[in-house]
Amino acid sequence: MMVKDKTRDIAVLRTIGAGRGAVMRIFLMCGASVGVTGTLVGVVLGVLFCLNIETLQGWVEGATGAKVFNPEIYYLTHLPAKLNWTEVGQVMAMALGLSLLATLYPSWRAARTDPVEALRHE
Amino acid sequence: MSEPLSIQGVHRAYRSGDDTLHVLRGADLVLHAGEIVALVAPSGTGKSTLLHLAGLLERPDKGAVLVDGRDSGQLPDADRTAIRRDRIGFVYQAHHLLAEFTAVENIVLPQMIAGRDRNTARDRAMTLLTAFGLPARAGHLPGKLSGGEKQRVAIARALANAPGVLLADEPTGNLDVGTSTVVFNELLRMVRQEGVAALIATHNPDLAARMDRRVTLQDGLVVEV
Repeated sequence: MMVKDKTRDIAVLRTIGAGRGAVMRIFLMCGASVGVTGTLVGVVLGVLFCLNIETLQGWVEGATGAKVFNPEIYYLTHLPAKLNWTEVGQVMAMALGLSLLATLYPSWRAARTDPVEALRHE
Repeated sequence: MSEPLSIQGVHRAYRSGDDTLHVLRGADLVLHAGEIVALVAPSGTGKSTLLHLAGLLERPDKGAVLVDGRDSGQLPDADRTAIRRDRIGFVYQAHHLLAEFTAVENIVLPQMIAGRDRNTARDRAMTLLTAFGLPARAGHLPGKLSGGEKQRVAIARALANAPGVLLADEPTGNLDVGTSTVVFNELLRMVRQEGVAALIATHNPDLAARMDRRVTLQDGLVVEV
């Protein structure tokens, strides 16, 4: 989406002398920064959720007046939540890897933008 | 000394389905150092194609485009990009400034792409903005500038890397008559001051008359007017 929105700017950059590699790096950096930010925010929220799951359960039950996990049905007196840092690390690595992978094709397409075609209809 | 730009027997055709449109059929044009040439031709005769070929944005089907005596035809894309960055400046009908960058940043950008350090690039950008009477607008985004100011910044950006050749495609075509004349005067003044060879496409005969030489396109050839 960003590549499509920025087609004109990519063409301008190519016209003023930015190489294909430079354009590709710009979009890889953009994608990577979005991926890193998203992953970090996700990890922080996920860990906080895991560490405070019973407090959160209490808030939900207080707000709705209903049992989230009724012990008579689920046979649980409390919600079990175990924080495994190895798994957190694996999920982080996977999220970062996938976000980087997802930026490769759009970055390659951005680098292939033909400035003449992109500016012809402006 | 070699000419800044020499176009030799250039052919360019475009295919659309089964049809082939021959836009240029052996066009020749030499731009001497410091010379300002008007390209006056009706729409659809190949003005933009000639400018794109001259600016190494397209490759000719046949013929050669020499920049500073160097034939660009067989060069890889990276080398053509480097020539474009260091030796060629573009001004379009629309300003094409980057909206998220201020006026001065738009002029700094091509210099940083060329490897200049930030302070040197900024000094050069401020010199150009001052020459165009816009030092107070340096920190303004393009959205806060008038049409004439945007086009001045676009011209300053094209001159930022001190190119040998300036290519302009209807540079004042989007401006009202009064502003167009003012901006055009400044363009000519700066081009002469910087000693750049310029090829300027225009529909305006009055503006064309003020340039050193006038050429047009006829049947795919460049013809002196």
